[in-house]
Amino acid sequence: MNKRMSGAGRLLAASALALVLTTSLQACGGGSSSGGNGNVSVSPPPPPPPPPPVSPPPPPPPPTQSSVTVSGVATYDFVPFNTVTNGLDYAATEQRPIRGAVIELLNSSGGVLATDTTTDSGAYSFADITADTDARVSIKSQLLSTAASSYDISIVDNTSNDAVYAVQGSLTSVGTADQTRDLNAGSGFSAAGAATGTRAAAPFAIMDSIYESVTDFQGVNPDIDFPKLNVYWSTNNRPVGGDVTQGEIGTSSYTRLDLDGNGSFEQPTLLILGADDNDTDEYDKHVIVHEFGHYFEDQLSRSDSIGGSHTLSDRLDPRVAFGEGFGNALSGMILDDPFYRDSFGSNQTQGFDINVEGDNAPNRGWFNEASIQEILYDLYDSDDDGADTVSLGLEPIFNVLTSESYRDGRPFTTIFPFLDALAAEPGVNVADINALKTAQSINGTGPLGAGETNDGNIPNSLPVFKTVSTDGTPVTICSSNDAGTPNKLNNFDFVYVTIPTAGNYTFTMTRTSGATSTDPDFFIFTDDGFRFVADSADNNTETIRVSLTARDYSISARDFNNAQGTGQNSCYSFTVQP
Amino acid sequence: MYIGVFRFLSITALTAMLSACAGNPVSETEPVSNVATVKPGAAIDFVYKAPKGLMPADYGKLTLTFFEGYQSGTLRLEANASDGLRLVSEVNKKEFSMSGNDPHEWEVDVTASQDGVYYLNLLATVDLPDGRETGRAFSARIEVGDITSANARQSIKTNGVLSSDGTTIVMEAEEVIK
Repeated sequence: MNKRMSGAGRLLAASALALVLTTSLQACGGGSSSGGNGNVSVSPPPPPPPPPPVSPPPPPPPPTQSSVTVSGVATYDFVPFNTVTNGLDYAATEQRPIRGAVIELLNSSGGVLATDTTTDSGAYSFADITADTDARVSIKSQLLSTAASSYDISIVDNTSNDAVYAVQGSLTSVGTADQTRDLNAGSGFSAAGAATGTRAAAPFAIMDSIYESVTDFQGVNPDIDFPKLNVYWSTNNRPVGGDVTQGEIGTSSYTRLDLDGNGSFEQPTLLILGADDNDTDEYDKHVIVHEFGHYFEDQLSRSDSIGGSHTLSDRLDPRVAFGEGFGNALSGMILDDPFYRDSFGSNQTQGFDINVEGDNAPNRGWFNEASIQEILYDLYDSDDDGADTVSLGLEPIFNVLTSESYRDGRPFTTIFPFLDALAAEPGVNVADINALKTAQSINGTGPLGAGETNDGNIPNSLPVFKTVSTDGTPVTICSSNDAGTPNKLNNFDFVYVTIPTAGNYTFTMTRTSGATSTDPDFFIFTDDGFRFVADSADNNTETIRVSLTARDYSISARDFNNAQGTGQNSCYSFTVQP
Repeated sequence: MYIGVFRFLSITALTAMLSACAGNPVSETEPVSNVATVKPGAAIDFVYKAPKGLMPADYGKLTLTFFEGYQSGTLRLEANASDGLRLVSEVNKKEFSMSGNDPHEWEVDVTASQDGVYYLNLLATVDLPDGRETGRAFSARIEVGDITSANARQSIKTNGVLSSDGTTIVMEAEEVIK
């Protein structure tokens, strides 16, 4: 502990020292003297013996305060990347402020004496604390605001009953004068990346990436309210599927959990890996922001993505391509760094990167996440390169994604309805958008991607939407595994129908060619997800009769065999009639 | 890794389908989804077959199968055992060409001296002909002996100390008081 004299104490001590020096000079006979008649020579008297040394009085104690202020700065160990290996560089660890965290002063029994929120520099202050109280500072891994822009985001341990993390200082008297307590959450790793102890910094590193995302969105809309979000992180979180309470989370991801077991899957949750020497993501900021982007889409915008694995060169279901491309691009936007990096391996020394501004992955098009991420990032960034001559920033992208018209739009969330809505934003030049589309081999127009000619070498994937009437005239749709399964291009085919009059309608999907034993399924969507499910196990046919209001509907349809590892190719007639 | 899409159907949806069979229009169901995203990385799926009934000190064969979606390039694998588990195989690394269509299978032997749940950590890295590299990590769960009693003896590792009321994981700060 480093105790220093307060400013007032130093002033009093200096005054006392000045008084002592003055007294000493007078005692030494300084100044004029009188005496003697002047004509008698006398020896001068011996000088008086020096006065005994006068010990300076002890400095007065600082004034006693009945209450004090405890303040300080909260930081965490941040570990940057080695940008050559894409592994983490623990030797370059630096302390960064813990921003926006709930911070508490606790008494000896754990009761809360005072609460504050750390500032952007990590500063906090607890005023009017009763002097001489024994207390400790506790910083929770929680972002909480009830202001105009509200949020409640906690990093919790899914392997310990969702307990929130807190880094705490010592239980020490606050004394009788104002006190500074600076706290740092250590990484728990050596300079070589070996685990050495408690990884206190990890929850705060994750939280900081989310804080950066939240504040960037607030910069666009100061009144944005974020639905409650839990972030599951544990050192036990491993890349294996199984029991989440044992840390078997599969991989870092976004999902909604059914915490109350009522089948509603209502709790937005990020699951983040934490197993060192294998894959842990607390310092992989792009990974955190990417998954937060999925939360943003799901909770504040709209997502029809069906999830699943994906890579830059895949020909994906266009809903997956848009969601993943958005996540990648958003990480570049929020962090102002177009290089998405992910570390893993022994001592986290390995990794890979994705340049969201330009990657040489093949299979460009409306079904490719590399195409989507490049379009979105080019719309945002201020660097002109290639076909990119536009610099819109985050605001118009945010405005489109959160607009009622986009969220309630009828077509699925692909690049097409997004760009169609963006073109209507103030200050957006359609020619700029078209240049970016052309560079990615995308030429469909409007929210349905009408006229698209890039089929990704799967001819049946076009047109993007097959429009069906309600008079029973069939349209042909297909389900194929040519690009893989279960979330790849043309596993699902898409149908669009305008219901002119409210009433009962029968939808039928019947095999016409291809694999001889199929299991057709389809899903009728409204703006907030699928409302009608037709997925019986009937062979080669599927039908459902539903009551619909007058409006447009999107339908996704597939052979269920393409939801599994094997897959096959088949085509169907699809009809809608009263 | 594909995490169940549309796997869950609510009771309402099931009722709706039964109604459809009777020719009546089904009513809307609440939108239900447990879609899970997957972080970017190599296009590799992984399944494994763990030894069953493996007892302490026994050797068990673990079969690892990797499915990849690449036309060419090299798949490099590295296996490392978690604490308490021992990888008996002579090598912990293996390489496969990705030019074929077949999945890649690797068998390794493992052993543990005590009852418990262990993990074999696997790192799959992909080198593509165009110079791009990517990767993905996996784990395989291995049960040895009586895992119920093992779990009772040794609770899951906690990064800090769980508070007495169970609401907080307490971690010690590096602190300077002035």
